Amino acid sequence: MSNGEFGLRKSYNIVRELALADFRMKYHDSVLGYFWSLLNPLIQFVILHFVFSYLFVVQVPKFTFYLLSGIVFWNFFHDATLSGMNAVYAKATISKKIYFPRNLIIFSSTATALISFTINTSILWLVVIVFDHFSPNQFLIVIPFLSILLLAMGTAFLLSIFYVYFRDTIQIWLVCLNVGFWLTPIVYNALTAPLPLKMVALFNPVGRILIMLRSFLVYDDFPSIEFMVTTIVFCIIFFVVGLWLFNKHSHKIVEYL
Amino acid sequence: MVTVENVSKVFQIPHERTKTLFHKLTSVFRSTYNYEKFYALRDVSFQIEKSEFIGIIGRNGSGKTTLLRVIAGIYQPTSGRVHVNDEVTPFLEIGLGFQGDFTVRENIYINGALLGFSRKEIDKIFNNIIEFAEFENFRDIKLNKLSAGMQVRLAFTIAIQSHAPVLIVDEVMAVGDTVFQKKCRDIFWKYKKQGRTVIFVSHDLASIKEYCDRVIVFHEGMIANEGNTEEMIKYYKEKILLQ
Repeated sequence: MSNGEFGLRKSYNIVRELALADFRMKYHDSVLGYFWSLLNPLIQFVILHFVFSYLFVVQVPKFTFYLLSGIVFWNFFHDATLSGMNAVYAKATISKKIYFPRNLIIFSSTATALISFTINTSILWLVVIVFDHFSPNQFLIVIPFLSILLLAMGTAFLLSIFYVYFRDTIQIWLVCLNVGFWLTPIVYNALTAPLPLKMVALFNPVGRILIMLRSFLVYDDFPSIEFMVTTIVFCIIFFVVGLWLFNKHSHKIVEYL
Repeated sequence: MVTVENVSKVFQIPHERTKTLFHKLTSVFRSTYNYEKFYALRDVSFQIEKSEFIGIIGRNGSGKTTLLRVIAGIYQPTSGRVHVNDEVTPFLEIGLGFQGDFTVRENIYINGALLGFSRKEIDKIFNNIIEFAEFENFRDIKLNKLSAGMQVRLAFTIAIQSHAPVLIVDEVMAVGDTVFQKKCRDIFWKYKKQGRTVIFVSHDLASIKEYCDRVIVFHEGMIANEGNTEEMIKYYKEKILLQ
């Protein structure tokens, strides 16, 4: 049965209820609540800012905003892919009892991560406006915002298929994320990096999304149309392929749990 | 109407379950990756007519729950096909799609959505559910703080809100107390009067005898016999339980 047959309205209701319940649960028993999800990237930002402004100085104009935007977007990618993988297990009690399109599990875990991401991106934008400048071009950050959303979901779909068969996928992916953080132009400039690193950073879809984001948000200019189109098209294809493969394997997912 | 045609379900049970990628990769070299085939269902065919209250009995591990999961669309049959004309509400084992670390309220809303209710519709029936399940003091308690019997009570109460014409009921009576069992009986009789289709699985032969129009006896993944309720209960007792 496809999602269409199942009913879009019904699917939407399920995603909303699961995502909201997950979001509430995450911050339910904590004193500082949502503040925790801000604290982690904030500390990461302070440390990296200190290291790369005073110890090893990187030559990046407006480094503060450059770094902050990189961290916000990278953290979403990090959280959404990990929680998507976990969700397939966490929701096993539900998926063994009642039929619903299994991809809704990933849609809802991404939606939970998306709530924080939307808030954090708004804060990021506000910080840029208050401490730097405002320009109508900044509304274009919706393009990198949606691109990384599609990319993260596509990745989560692929990873969860692996995770069901191989339990150490999560450890492997944690290592990949760790390496990926440094292969993505978050603390350095891709264009001025040494050649091998430059190549990797420019082929890395998250890196390309970050280049778009900073052009619109921080530097008030445009990357080439070709650069933007290839990045966006890649993210869309990646999402569609991930979803298609996940749907193909979804009935096995329940049996293996 | 539910049609089950030549359905088989095979599970592969590895002799040595490879759970990590490392293990899998190395097991290629050790050539120990082999598995046994386990037939949970073997060439099962039957039909359930509209408005029928059908009982399914069989020992533990005879394939009853696998069959219900196949009918509910949770498992795909290895071969054969299942055709269900109407919408199905499954109520399998303990609980619907419950998640223990969510509150009672959240679980009601999630399961309501899974049964196809909108948020507004659940708002309307929320108090009825709480009242029927006698959950007045437990609205915002995490579900895993409640006993199994309480969870079944809640799950059953949510499941019966569904208007789906086909209802699957797997072992509801086993955990409930007498007050709750009385409520279940009233509901089942109401369903019989309304002419809804119910697939009823139970080890409690007395309730099978009370409600079912027809009974299918399962044994080792196959239909051992099917037909008139009293004859089938007799058959089950003499030919299967006494062996």
